[in-house]
Amino acid sequence: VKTLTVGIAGTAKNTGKTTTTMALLEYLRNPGICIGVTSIGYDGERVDNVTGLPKPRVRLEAGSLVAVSEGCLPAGSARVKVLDRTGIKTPLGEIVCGQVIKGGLMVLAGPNQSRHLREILQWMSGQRADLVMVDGALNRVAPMAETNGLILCTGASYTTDLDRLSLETHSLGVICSLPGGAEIPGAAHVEGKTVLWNRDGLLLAELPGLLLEAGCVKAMRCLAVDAGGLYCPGLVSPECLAALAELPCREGMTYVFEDPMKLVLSGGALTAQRFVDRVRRREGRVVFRKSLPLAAVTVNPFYPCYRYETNHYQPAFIDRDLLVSRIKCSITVPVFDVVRDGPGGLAGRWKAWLQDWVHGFGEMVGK
Amino acid sequence: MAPQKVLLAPIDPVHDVGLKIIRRGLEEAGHETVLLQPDLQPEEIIREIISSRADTVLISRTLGYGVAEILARFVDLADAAGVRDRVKIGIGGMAIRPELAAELGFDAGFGPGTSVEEAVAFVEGRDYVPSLAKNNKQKIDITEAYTYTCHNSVIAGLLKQITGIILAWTENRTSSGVLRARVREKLWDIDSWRKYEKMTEFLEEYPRFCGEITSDFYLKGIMHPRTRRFAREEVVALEEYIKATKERMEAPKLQHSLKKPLVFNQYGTGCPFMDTGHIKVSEAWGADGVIHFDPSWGARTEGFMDGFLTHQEDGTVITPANLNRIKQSLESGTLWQVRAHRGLNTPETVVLAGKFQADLTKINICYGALGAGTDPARMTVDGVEAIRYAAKYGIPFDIVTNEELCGVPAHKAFAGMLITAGLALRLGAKPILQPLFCYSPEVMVGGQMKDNYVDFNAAKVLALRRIIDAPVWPGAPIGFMTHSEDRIQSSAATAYHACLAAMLGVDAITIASSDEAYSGGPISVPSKVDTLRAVGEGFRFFGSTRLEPSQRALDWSREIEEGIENVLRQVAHRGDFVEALYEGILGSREEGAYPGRNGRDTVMMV
Repeated sequence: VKTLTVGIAGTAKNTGKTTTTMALLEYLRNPGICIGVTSIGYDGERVDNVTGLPKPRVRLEAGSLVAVSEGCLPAGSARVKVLDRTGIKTPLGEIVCGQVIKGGLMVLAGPNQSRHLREILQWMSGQRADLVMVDGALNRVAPMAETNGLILCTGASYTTDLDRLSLETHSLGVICSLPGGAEIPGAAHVEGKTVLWNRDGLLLAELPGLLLEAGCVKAMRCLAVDAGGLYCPGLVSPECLAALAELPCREGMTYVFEDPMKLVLSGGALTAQRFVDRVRRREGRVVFRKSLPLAAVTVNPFYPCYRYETNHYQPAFIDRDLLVSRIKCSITVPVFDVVRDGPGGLAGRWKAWLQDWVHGFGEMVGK
Repeated sequence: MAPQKVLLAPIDPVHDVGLKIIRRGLEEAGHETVLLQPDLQPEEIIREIISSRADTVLISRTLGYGVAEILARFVDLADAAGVRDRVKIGIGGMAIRPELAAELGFDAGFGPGTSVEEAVAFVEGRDYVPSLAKNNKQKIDITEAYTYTCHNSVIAGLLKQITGIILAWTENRTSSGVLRARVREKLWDIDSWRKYEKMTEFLEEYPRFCGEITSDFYLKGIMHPRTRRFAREEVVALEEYIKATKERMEAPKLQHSLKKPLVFNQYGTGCPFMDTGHIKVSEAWGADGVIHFDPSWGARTEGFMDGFLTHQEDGTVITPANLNRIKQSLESGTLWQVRAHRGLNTPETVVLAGKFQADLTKINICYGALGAGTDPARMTVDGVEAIRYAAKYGIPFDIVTNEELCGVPAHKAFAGMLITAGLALRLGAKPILQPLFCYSPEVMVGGQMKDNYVDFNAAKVLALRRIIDAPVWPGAPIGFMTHSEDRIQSSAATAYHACLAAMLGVDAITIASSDEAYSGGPISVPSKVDTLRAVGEGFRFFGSTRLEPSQRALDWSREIEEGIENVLRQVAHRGDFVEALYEGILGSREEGAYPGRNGRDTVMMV
């Protein structure tokens, strides 16, 4: 059985990550499906750690697999049988992996680094989990590159400027829709380095794995005319993206990045999309070693309104319908308001997606 | 371990003081540090991490609007840059807690109160173990350093004369309280009791000397009204609570640079389960000792019941089982005082305190007779016997002067206190002087505290220090009559009195919870914490600062000393201590002191 792992990532706090996770868990509650849950942040608490406003609770059913910091176990009403200890340390203790033996509320704080999440997902897979949901934290997305696909949660908590929200959501949709599985020519591959190769796949230049300083990119200018492709395994800064776009490469250049998150993290999705557009205009293409498809977007009109006078937050909302319609117009993947619409639509979208992923899984969901 | 390279990065416009403090600790521990300038962008810090080849990064940031997202982005960048595979990243700041650090994605979070040692442990990759001083509080005997030399020869002579009179008077007198204590002392064996062995002889003898309530308990099985035994499930829950609490108890210290004064806090909710909760809170927030506060009806009742009992009145009924359970709940470093000072069970209370290895008790014949309702003759007979037991079991006792609250002037109350102290010294016991730090009727009328609470309280301590080399433990509680229903005001008032006590170099203090005077029932845990925190903060503020007494304080201290001499002269001249109590020499009816009536005519000639 292949394990499907899905990251529920947000653009900010309070964009609805946990609400989306819980809605899907509720909908997919089916004894025939083995579900694993973890979080790269801290979820299920009664009130927000920063704003002090109420938060959605996390309820897990008996049989679910979890990976959670040991310090969280006494905080909920669910009972977990610890099956394995990982040695992964967090501020709330060691991450332990186990199975919920009595359903109830849980506080979830799991692995917060990519490499640790990778270990946990391997453990879940070893336990024959059918589906693993990784609840996000704040605006953190880096560890989500370890999952098979994303649900993006966004809304007024990120920005109440709907123009900006639409643009950025659109850009992220564009980046996440780029193909994965790109190969680096064997003769050009240097472990941990950014490499430039010619049309015959031979190494032209070798740069640091992280492209943070534009100077090193500009230094490749004289080689660019012979270049057929470039691969950057790490982060790339907006200055470097601009410098890459200005290299005098010939048409048909291929730019390979490790995954969509590495491309968008430093300069943001808008900057990354501008780069993609410039490459495309010159008949080039941007691809990833590992893709991270965006399955759906959920939106949340709620935002914590900060009162400077009192240093307090209070609940506030933007127009729910307007938010949904604007985001729907900006992106090709389905958009849901899970609080208003319930999880059916989102999960329905999942069925098709899951069916593609694991043969027969969609039928299980439909039972 | 090998020296580590630590990058200290304030992602903050200005604040990097915390990092500078930690930097010093890290360098002292042999690690290399690089302190970055404040307000760098996350990308710039990532570049520094890579170029400096740091092993650990410590970030500091004051949390504010939108800052969580900035910190999360920094963590994401570090993750995507691959540096987290080899670099540990911790965050510190005023609003940082482990939960928030986990949410933000850091390896550790350091909030307010973080010690440098904690940060060093993180850098060195080891678990932080709080210092032994924090976990292993040791009991201190506050009488140890004192010689009990009386510096005032006039007072020394008078005390010798008066105590001689008292001992002669009590020589051929006894009471049911004394007889009960002897039965408890001789026929009640704590080990046999703990093993549930039959104590037939004790049970035959003891009820003979009890009052109606207690003899009904033993002979007819009738429980005192509004009192009941704990149910089995309640006992199980209590044991689980104690076990769980002890496992995570840290027992911090309130004192900062001085070792004294020790801080005592009383319990006495009526329910030993709730008492245990109060004790654990007192211990967890730094109290050095706890005081068993018994119910007022217990002071008027001849004899003690037994069993693990809870009841619905102020103070917690003394029974062997109650004392046993409470004793077992204490941390090893917590001092335990069982009060015996004011009723018909004074000598027997000291016997029980001795058998249960209490650290301290409380006896004062004059206060018991003039302010606490016990007949002077009975209190004298019982008090002397109680002091003998305190000497036998080696339990120091404080001599409270709460008759000041009735209106008795300080010098009269102190004269009574010194008489009891004199008796203690003659009988081989270790007395502790307990002047009230209070806004008493005497000063309300006389105006000694019209300007400040410092001078007159200081004068009391100065007077006592000049008279005798003995431990001083202001109480009980300090700041009495300065508290209001406002918890902040009450906590602050207590803290100021505590700091005054510390600056006067006293040995211990008893503090009240901030709602003690106005609770209308059992005191609450938050109020207890309020006061303990306020006192700790006061000790931190003043450190080892000493008080230079004002001329007015010195003048008043001499007046108090002279007043004490005059009172003692009158008592000696009267030639009968008990009659002196009745006649008001140590506190008159006009002043608000009324000789007690409990136990009147119960003194028997032998």
